[in-house]
Amino acid sequence: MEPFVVLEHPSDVGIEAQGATVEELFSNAARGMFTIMLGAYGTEKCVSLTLERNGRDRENLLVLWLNESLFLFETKAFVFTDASFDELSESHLRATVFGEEFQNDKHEVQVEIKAVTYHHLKIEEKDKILRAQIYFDV
Amino acid sequence: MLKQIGPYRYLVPKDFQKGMKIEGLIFASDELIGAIEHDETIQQIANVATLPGMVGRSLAMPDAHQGYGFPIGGVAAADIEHGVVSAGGVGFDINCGVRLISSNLSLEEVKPSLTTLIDALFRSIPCGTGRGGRLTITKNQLDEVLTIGAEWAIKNGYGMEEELGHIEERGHVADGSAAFVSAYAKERGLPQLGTLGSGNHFIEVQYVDEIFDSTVAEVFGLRLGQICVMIHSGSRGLGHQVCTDFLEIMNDVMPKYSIEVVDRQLACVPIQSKEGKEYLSAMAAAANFAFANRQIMTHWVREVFADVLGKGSLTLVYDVAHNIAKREVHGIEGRKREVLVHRKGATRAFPANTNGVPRDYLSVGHPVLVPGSMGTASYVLVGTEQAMKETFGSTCHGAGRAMSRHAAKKNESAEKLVAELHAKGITVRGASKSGLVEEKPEAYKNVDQIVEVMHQSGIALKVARLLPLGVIKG
Repeated sequence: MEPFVVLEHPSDVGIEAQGATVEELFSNAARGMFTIMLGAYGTEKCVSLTLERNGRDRENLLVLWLNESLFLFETKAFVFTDASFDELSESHLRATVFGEEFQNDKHEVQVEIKAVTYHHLKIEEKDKILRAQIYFDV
Repeated sequence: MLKQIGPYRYLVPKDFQKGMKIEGLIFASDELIGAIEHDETIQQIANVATLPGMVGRSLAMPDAHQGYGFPIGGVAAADIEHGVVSAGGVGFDINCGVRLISSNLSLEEVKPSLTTLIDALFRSIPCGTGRGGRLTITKNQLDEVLTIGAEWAIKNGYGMEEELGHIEERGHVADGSAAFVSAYAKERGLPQLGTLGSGNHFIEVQYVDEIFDSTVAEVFGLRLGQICVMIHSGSRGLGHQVCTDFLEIMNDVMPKYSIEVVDRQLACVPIQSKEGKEYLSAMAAAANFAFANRQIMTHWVREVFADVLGKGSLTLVYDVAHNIAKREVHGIEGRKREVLVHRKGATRAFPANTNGVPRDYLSVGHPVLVPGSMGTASYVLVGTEQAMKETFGSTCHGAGRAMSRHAAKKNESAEKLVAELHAKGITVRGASKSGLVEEKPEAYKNVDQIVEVMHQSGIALKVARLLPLGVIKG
């Protein structure tokens, strides 16, 4: 199972992320988003941060989760590598995210993501695999 | 389903989609309409037409392409009393816009120092997705920027008072207040004032290579062979976060106002609602940030020109927003109505003697600035009465993407691209190699064709064409 694949269109950049669990799906989606921004990158877990959000539904929660990770990237130079979820329900998430610090000699920003969008956003389950489609404004 | 109703005009009828309250209208040539039909642009034009309180037509300019909720290149107006405001209808990069600076220097005077000049601009103006600019401001100063816009820059030594008259809204959208800009947005914006950003943002040294209307060009202070500088940038992370925040707020409260939308990215609230007013205040604040941002970078461009060339003076021609919602009065079905015009990747194009046009340009209309893609021409246009009749005084904003970023990178390297542009006499410096390749000229539609549609349809007329000499990309 590929954790994510990049979806391309003249005006869009997105990902289709997969996971056996919701937790895995959310982690893979974050990893996919950072891969669009940075290309292939590391797996270090030298930084950890906690985050908590309430959402209207699971899709909304996924957008909030990714936007929160984007905010941490821009303001704290945080590059996501992994996550541990204390809670991930339909409408609430509390997690510790792990990652590395953005460094100019190690990382290059290839694409600046402005925001996560609701464009064609969906989470589906098929053959016990969860799939999420997410597009970004770049 | 599209019906050609006149030269360069394609109607999207109300029966295209259930729930359309107004028709859609696309401005395009035979060549450009194909690309517009190829993606979801027409569907998105129809979706916009389903929003409550929309008046006139849901419009798309010839550079239109699929966006998020609204198409890029889309214009739609909502009745001020009964209509809605959509955060997605303005977009993430609030007041992304363009400014043009003219000089008293000729092509011959600058050409020998061009590489030095471009290198110095690249060193001097922070670009790319960096966290740090060269400006350190306090939270209180940021709040002041959000309230008074470009005037903050002038007050702090970045330019001259008289320049404010050559910025849309005098560089200060009224009602802008830090009160409704979230702590998240401020944290993103604080280190980014005075930064170019990445993607399609740029600073370009250009020269005027053709004048189409000498009378108007003279009023704009443009002449053949003259060196100019064009800046394309926006409100950076601050604006992106304001849009992100209000998309959530609007999606949360839509049920309260019994509003249902066909696409969550179209989330909207009544203009007169608490949330509507708060969004418009936060949007105005982000727009003010962008006006100040472009003003500060203009000052640094001036410093670089002085350092490298030791001569010449730079004059602000105009600064226009192309992602914004504006309260304006337009004639609709024979009567004047106040509306909120959403311009998402579209430029205001007001003609002579129209409220909102600066005094210096009142006799001809304000300059409309249309940047091309990297390595291609940019244009200065002027709005017309026809634009007031058909497009809420709006026109195109650029070239419009035609190729995916992934496709643009295939069989292309930054070195090859830089060499090709160099062979054409264009010097390029980019913060990111991969970013540079994604912006190659072939990845965009032909700006000449787009401008020609606006000119031939009588919406905005050609005044001058500028060709690039050197460009810095984020």
